[in-house]
Amino acid sequence: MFTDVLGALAHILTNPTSLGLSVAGVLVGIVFGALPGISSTMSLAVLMPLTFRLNATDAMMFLMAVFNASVYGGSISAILVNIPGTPGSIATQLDGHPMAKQGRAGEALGYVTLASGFGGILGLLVFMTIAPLVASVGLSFQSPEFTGLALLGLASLSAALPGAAYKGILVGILGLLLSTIGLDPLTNVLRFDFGSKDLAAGLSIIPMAVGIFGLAEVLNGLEAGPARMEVVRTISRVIPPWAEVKRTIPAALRGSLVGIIVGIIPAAGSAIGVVFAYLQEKRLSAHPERFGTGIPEGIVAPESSNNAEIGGDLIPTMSLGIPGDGITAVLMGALLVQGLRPGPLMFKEHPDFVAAVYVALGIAIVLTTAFGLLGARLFAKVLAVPQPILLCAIAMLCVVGSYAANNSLFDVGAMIGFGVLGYLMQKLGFPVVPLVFGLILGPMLEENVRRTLVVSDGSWLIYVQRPISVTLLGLSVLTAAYPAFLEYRARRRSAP
Amino acid sequence: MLVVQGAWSLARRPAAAGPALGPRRFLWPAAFVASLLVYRQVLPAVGYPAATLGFCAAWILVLTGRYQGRLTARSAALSVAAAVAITGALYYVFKGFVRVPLP
Repeated sequence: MFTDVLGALAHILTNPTSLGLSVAGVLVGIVFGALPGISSTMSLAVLMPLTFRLNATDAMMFLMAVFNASVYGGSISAILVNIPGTPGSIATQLDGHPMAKQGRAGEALGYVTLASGFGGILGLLVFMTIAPLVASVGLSFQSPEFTGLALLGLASLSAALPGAAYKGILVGILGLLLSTIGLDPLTNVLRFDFGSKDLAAGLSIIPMAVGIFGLAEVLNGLEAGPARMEVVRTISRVIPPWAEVKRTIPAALRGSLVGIIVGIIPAAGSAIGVVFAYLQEKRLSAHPERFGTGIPEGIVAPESSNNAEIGGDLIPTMSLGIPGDGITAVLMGALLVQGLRPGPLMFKEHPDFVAAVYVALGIAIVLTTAFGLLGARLFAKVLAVPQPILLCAIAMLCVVGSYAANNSLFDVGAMIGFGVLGYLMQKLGFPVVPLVFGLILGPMLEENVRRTLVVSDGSWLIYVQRPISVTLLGLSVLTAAYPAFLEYRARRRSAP
Repeated sequence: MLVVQGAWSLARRPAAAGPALGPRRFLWPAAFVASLLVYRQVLPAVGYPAATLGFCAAWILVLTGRYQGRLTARSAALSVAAAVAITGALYYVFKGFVRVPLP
């Protein structure tokens, strides 16, 4: 692996296009992340179409840069406006904004930047260490085990919306049903195409992701109307004193650890990790009463967790082909467009590409940290972009992006349809991420169930006769049932 | 026509009136989706640059009027300039860089 990483690093560093794409991705990612209402998932979904004509390595350079930088960028508006740019910045604002209001906005941005870089690097190191090990175990998997994996990914959707486990599962099932449109993977018979040649190839992940993550947010923005934002405009020195930075290293370590663990758990979501990291730091602090007044630990712990989660997210995504959350589901969609299916086989058949992914993320982290420290004042200016311009620009990006997938206006219509569906689902309190999970995991589940049944002559007992398969199925049942059990217990306790 | 009419009525509304509240707020997403569907239909006939410029200019004008309470000549000029910039940037990136054969 070490040789592959060195080779990828040498190739990328000597390739101006790859480096240029990484720089562009970081700049666009920070700007998108900083704008309130544009999540990292939305940033990746609307920018993904730009990579369709690139080779896989260059595409990953751009996408990893957008991924990492948009996660970081969310904290800029959390600090300066007290509105988190992304859900993962929700805890950063608790101490970041009070610090900014004390005239230390630059310092707060400096802590965020350094903590993001620290967490990102730790997450990357864990990703590089664990993912190949998980993939090597995964290489021994056959159809029954892959069925168990797909079910485990789907079962994790019960945790997608705390307090309403069934909603995540229901939306996941809708995604599974949508994945059955088009050619049958084993018999090549057309299904649910209604005579339309556009549906014969099945529903593409691109219009769905762009619609439910991009257009749905535009519709939400239109409904909400003008946002009243009070921006802290005075940004003092950005790099905090070294003695202070040194004092926050334990908080950054603990936050990163929380982020990595939460990232590995599929569908856990970045907001859970950062809130947990913040509360844990407050619990361990000798002065918990100072949290919320603008102390560095209150910024560093959630922010390091936020960026460390990227590495954790990528472990199940890359090594097993199970997306960790919405953003890795979109990333997986981008890889599928490139003709690459993440999973154990990728580590065996394309070790050079896997190494390029490590390097792409590493370069993205370094560039994000550098640009964050050097350009904090500049990035803060994007908060002045008027909302009408922003909403129209994103909507048009959604249209052109979905069209670019297959040069098809049908995909534009599908994107609009999914945008409306995503908007309505949010209004009705349904999570949207499981829809993408279902569409991605559907073909994997269907193909492997049917292959297994062919091998076992139609006997379902094969699933309980193989140790890994039965373990994965057991874990799936526990994962699906646990949130429902918690809800039941909470209801019983609150009952008079 | 609806978009133009909306822009006109908002431009004439006094600043103190403020943004629309209550169930009416759902009309904005509905109108936007309807206009997107129309945009998609006219795209092949009109072509990407003209259709996108028209769509963006109309909506930025309408929304600027909604958010600011009324449209001034300066904000109208800025809105049109922004629409030109959005259309041009996306056209350059997708047609020139990504090489997508836009209609």
